[in-house]
Amino acid sequence: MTFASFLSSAPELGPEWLRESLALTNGKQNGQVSSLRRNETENSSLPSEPWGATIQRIESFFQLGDDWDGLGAKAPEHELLKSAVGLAYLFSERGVPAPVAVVPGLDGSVNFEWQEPDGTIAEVEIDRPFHAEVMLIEPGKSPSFWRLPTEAASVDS
Amino acid sequence: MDELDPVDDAEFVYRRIHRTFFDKNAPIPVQFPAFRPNVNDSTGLSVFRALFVQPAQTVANIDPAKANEYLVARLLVQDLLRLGLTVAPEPAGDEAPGHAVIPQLSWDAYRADKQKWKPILVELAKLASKDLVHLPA
Repeated sequence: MTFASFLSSAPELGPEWLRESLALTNGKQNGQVSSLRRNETENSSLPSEPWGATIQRIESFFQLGDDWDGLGAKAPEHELLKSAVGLAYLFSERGVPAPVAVVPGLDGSVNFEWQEPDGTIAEVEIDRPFHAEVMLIEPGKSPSFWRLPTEAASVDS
Repeated sequence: MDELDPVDDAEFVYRRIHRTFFDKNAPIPVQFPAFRPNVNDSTGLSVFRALFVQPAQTVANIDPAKANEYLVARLLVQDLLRLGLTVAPEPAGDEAPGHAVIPQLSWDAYRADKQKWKPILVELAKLASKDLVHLPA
């Protein structure tokens, strides 16, 4: 399954994203959150590679503080990181290819980026807890944009 | 020549890129969030005119422990113009010489029309990936 086909046929994504995220348990080291897993065993439910590495990369963002870049970047907040890990679990379960990169934004966001061999580029920018902006650029087509989740989903549901 | 002189199309500018946004194994090694403005970019996205500064000097004002985390990409102003971007001189006392901004990519302008600017950021990342002139120590 490609990234684009998954997202364009996933109206139910919001509730599932929420469920995945709320099921995560904090793992702590030295009193600080260092991991998010589906149960209390540190590595028992980490997806296979390369999604496992993607999730561990997101977890590493817990170590970031404000001004992590020396030029005033904002660190991602805990709930936003939890959302990002939850979305990564959901993508991995659905067979979506892992992104080529996952990076913290300079504005406190978390960004998944896909670069496909045909020149297709996609981004999911998680800009607040349980909310993301998606961009898809396919060769020869106008860029398309949409938001996750659908309007029907809500953090309080 | 003065730092306040208008920027010529044939000039080059430098953009600092934190290593977080670089993966040498990716098809486009520089990830485009490296060009996404943040709240500090009130007048535009920071760049440095190559006429006034060496690439390594552009990170001189950053905490030394963090300055070593930066790459510097070189961009031709003419290429920026093709993307609908301009470069305006904006010397700043707390920055290296030659500081300038891309006013179209101020925080407010970016937030007002993200769908217009995000594909432009991708093009900037492609250009930057082709001409990295300074790597972390």
